[in-house]
Formats: sequence, C-alpha cells, structure tokens
Amino acid sequence: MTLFFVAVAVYVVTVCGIGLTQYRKTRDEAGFFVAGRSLGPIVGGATLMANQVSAGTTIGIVGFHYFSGISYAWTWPLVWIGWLVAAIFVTPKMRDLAGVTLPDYFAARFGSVAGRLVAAICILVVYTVLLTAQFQAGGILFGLAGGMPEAWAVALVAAITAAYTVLGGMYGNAYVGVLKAVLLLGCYALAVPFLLRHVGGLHDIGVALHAIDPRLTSQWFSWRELIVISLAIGLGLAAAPYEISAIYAMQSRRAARLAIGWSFVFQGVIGVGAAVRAVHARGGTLSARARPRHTDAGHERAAAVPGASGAASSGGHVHTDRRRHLADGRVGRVTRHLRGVLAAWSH
Amino acid sequence: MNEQALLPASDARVDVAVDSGGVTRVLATYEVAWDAALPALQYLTARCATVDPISVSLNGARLDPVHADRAPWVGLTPPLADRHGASGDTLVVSYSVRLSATVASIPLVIPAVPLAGAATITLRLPPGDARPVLPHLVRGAAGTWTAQFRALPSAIRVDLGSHGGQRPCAETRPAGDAGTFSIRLAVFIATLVLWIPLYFWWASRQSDPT
Repeated sequence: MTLFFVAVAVYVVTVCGIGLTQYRKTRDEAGFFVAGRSLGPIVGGATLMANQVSAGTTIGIVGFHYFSGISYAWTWPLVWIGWLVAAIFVTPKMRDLAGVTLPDYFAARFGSVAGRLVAAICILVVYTVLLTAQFQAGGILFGLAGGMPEAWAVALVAAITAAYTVLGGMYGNAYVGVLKAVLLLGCYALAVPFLLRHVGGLHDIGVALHAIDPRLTSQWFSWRELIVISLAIGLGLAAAPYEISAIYAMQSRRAARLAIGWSFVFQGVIGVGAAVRAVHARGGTLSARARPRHTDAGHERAAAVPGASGAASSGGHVHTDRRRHLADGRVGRVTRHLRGVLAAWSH
Repeated sequence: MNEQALLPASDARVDVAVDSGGVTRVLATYEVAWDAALPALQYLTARCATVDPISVSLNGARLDPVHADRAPWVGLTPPLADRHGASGDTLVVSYSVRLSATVASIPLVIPAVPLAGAATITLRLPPGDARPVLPHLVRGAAGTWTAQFRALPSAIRVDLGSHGGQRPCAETRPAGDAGTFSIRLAVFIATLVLWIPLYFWWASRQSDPT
C-alpha cells in the first residue's frame, strides 16, 4: 500500500511539474489552447494516443477481452479506419482554418456565432457524460489499488487531471501524453512477457480459454458487429474535440499526418498488451515449466567441472557464496526478471 | 459462461494458507447480496498441485455439486434444488491443495461468472524466503500477503523458496485444444505490423500546399 501511495505521489508531482514548466512557456491564447502550434510528429502522436487511450482502454477494453476473448482485438485496426478519415479529410480542413477549438470550425464554416454556440453546447453535454465514465473508471482503479473509498479516488483522479490541464494547457497535455506513452508502453513491454513466462505461453492460455468457451479463441463478435463498433469509435475519434485540438497544435499538415502514424505505433503496443493481459486473466493457466533455482544451478555447474572440487571448497567456495548472495537479493531478482523478459520475447 | 449472470456477492474473501510442507488450505467466503441463482464453480487442474475433495456449503448446509470434466477445467455445479441464493446467505468453499514443486500454482475454485463486487485475497506463507509470484499481492503482517481484485484469478503462483525442498514435479503443458487462438493473435499482430509502415509510406508521400 505504501508503494502505491509513493507511486501516486511521484506521478502527481511529475505531472504537476510538467504543468508548471509548460505554464511558463504559455504566452497567449494560442499557447494555452494549441501549444503555439509547435508539436512535432512524435510528441503529437503521443498526445493523440494519450487522448484516445483512457480508462476506456485500460479498464473497458480489458473487460471486453475478458468476457469475449481475442476477437475484440480487431477493433484496433478497424478504428484506425476512422483515423484514416481524419488524416485524409479532417486534418487538412482543420489545419487550413488555424482555429483553436472545434466550435471555431463551425463558426467559420457557417459564418455564424450560433454555430459556435451549438457546437459548444453539444460538446459540453456529450463529454460531461464521457468524462464521468472516465473518472469513474479511474476511481475504481485507484480505489482497488490504493484501498481508498471510490468517491475519494474519483476526486483524486479529477483533481490531478484538472491540475496539469489548468496549469499547462495543451503544452501540459502533450507532455503528460508523452509520459503516459512511456509508462504504458514500458509497463506492457515488461508485464506481458513476465505473465507469459509464468503461465506457460500463449498456447496454454488458449487451451484454458477454449475449454471455457470456443468462441473466446475464435469469433465471439461477428465481423458486422466488430465493424459497427469500430466505425462508431473510429469516426467519433476523427471528429472528437480533444483530438481536433491536438491536430490544431501540430506544426503542419505533414506533422499531423505523421503524428497519426506514431499514434498507431503506440496504440499497437497497447492493444496487443491489453489483449494478452485480459485473456490471461480469463484463462490464467498453471502449466509454466518449473525453472531450476538459480543458486542450485550454479552450484551444480561448479561441481561438474573436472578438478573444480578443490577450488569449490576453498577460494571457489567464497565466489559461490557471493554469487548466491547476489542471486538471492534484490539485484538477483531484478536480473532474473530482465532475463525472463528477454527470453520470453525471443521465444 | 452466461455473460449476463453475476455472482451477487457484495463481499468475497479468499484466504489461502500454505504450510512449510507445501500443504495449502483454501477458504473462500461469498456474502450473497441479492436473491439470485447461484452459479457453477470451476478450477484449473495442474500437475504439480493435487486438489483434495472440495467442500461447498450454503449457510452451513453442505451442497454436493456435480463434477464435470472440461479439461483443463473442472466444473462444480450445485444441484438444482440448492441453486437459489438469497440476500444475506453465505456461500463457503473450502479445500486443501498439496503442492509438489518449489514454484507451483495453487488452483482457486472460482465462480464461473464475474463477481458483482470485489474479492480480497489473503495469502499466508511459511516464514522465510517464500513469496507469491502471480498475481501481485502486497506484503502485510509477517508472512501475510493481500490484495483486492475485481475478477478472481484462477490460481495463485507461489515460490516456496527454501521450503521447496527436493520436489521433482515438472509442470507440463495442459492437454487440450487451443482452437485458433495463436493463429488469430499472430494474424492480428501481423496486420498491425503491416499497416503501420504502409501508413507512414502513404503519409510521407502526400504533398501539401505551401
């Protein structure tokens, strides 16, 4: 529990620090709302990904995979069709307008202040509902991990988000997005091989899932259902106000197009990680190959070397003791884990 | 699994206690929150963990569930007459597991449907270098590890450390068919891997007005 609160404290300090640092960069309205139109492809891609990959992914999509198996993963490339629509049709128009918000587009497009007002009201109503779900999901996660009442956890999540957004504006949002990309990609890159190593691999997960329900390893949703779900999400993303604001914040049309590509890279890693994590949770097998204990293996190798028995009982014995001490301590555990990560990725 | 069904447990506790000989006692308690049909239970079989006869009771009255082998799972279905749970009822599942490997998984008998609430798992290990491996549990008082879960894991993997002794059991792959799981996952990953460079190639070829 202490480790959880330390991690939360470090995260809060970091994102507020990012917000404060970026606050100093902000000079005007364009700086606050669209980061002075300075974002390059990689930071822009991380921003687009961070805006899309919310609690809806880390909790919602994991939940979908948990009950429906592997087929829901196809929503990722299908949602990217919506991003293609954004890249081909939406991005050029938004960049040409040089506005700061989505309602600006409607005001300019229809030459009407009322258009701006209607767009603003729609965004307020719809995204109040969306954000409520996001904060609730974040609150569930914080509440479970931290053991705090869910209401406090929701308030904490909302306060952290409000802090770095109010302080840093789009600059803050962008660089917190980079932090989020590093954390999500790094955690999935480490966690997934660790899981696979300890549960025997993908085949074993598949056997356990298939025995529960064969649809979990094949097609739970029909292709028509998957396409409908994905287009609803993907086309919604193409015109989502928070993504439009990020598009406005890019350096150029080209930077925006490349940023979409970089967001695919980040989303791809997260999509695979979320799918494997969730199906493991549903199947969760017990057939990992038992690995020999590190110290036992080292001792056996030393004894097997011809003429080594003398050395093992004198100078060699001290060396073996030091190796055992390192192997059993924290350094040994981290080293074994990293070796396992490399071994799992190479299988 | 009927994905619309839930085990209506407002409070689920799973206590697992491992002794230095690798004998494990598991006690799971579910407090039923509203009137509903009780779901079936299930657990994953494992070569290096022998599950002794499982006791299932509702408010102290023993139920005799019907065992069904769906390898690698074993299902436990309460008799029809005993399937109704009412608010305030307590469902208790208890059994022993004998571990025969230093690093082994303790099967948990879990409901075959999601829980309505969260579950708290408490693991007690013998003093020394024994530790849980999966899922992540937080160390509490001496030899105790605990965590809360929205979904119950099917097993707790432990490393008995120096208490493992000479345990010759080597876990083997489970018998059974994985369907098209691995192929589908591979095709999905290949699609993403192909899509991305194709998109970058297209994006970089587009010309923009000056």
